[in-house]
Amino acid sequence: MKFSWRVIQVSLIGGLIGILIGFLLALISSVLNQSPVFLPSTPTFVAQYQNNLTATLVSVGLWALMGIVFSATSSIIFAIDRWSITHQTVIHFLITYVLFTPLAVTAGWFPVKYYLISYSIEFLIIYFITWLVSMQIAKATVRKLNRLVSKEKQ
Amino acid sequence: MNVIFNLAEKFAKPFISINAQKESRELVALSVAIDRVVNQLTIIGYADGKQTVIPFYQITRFYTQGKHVVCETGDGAYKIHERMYELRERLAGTDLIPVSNAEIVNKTVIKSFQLTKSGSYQINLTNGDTTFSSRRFVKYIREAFLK
Repeated sequence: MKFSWRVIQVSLIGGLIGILIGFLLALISSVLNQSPVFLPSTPTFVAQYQNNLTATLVSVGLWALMGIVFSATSSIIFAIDRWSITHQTVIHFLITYVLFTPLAVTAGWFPVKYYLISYSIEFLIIYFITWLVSMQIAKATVRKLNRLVSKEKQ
Repeated sequence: MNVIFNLAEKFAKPFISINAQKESRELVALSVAIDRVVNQLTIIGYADGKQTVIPFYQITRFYTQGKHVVCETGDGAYKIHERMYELRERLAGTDLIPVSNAEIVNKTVIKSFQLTKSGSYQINLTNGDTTFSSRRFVKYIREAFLK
């Protein structure tokens, strides 16, 4: 019970952060493209809907779901601490890749045809860096613990 | 006060003696405290249908095996009735430190820590056994060694 409440809380915050990031990205993109109005995504995406407001509402829903995907999976996967760092990272990568990719494609963030490979490579690189940093932190922790053990034995 | 070992073949069963010119209130209090550590901080273990009183200082580790909690000493392993969370509460502040949800290890038998290739915290014990710690418990281990 306590566990699921925590996941719900984290997901809510994650959803809000997703909306914030999605909104900021869309705002920056609208400014850079010198659009006269705020566009939640590409003009092709917006054209799929009746008006800009509907397109924005759909986008907000997708941004929230993206945030939930990352926050909920993180709070579940990284809480299973009997798993090794590699195990956690690989499972987290697979779940977020499978769930986030369709959301990003639906939100019109990139056309599947041209960018799927480079997107996948970027995704992999980000996870590899995360894994590498986590391993380095763990190595430093182990070094510190071993120093304490040898001090104790002196 | 110096604590010295008096080692000889004839002491087949170890015992503690207090050496002084005469008995004093402080020394009696000390003997009571030592008695508590040696004889009262104990747990009951079950093995081969027999009950054994095990002093904490003899315990290498506690771990869960299926639905049971097992207590390991230099002499063998015993099933105990206490749950892990009860042990964690009872043993707080002693040398027996929780290293994961499923295990409590006596810090005096920890030889070293090692990060496995896949990124798990492995604990090497002085008796040659290995076990694993979880990341959440690393801070408790560090605190226990900083004490």
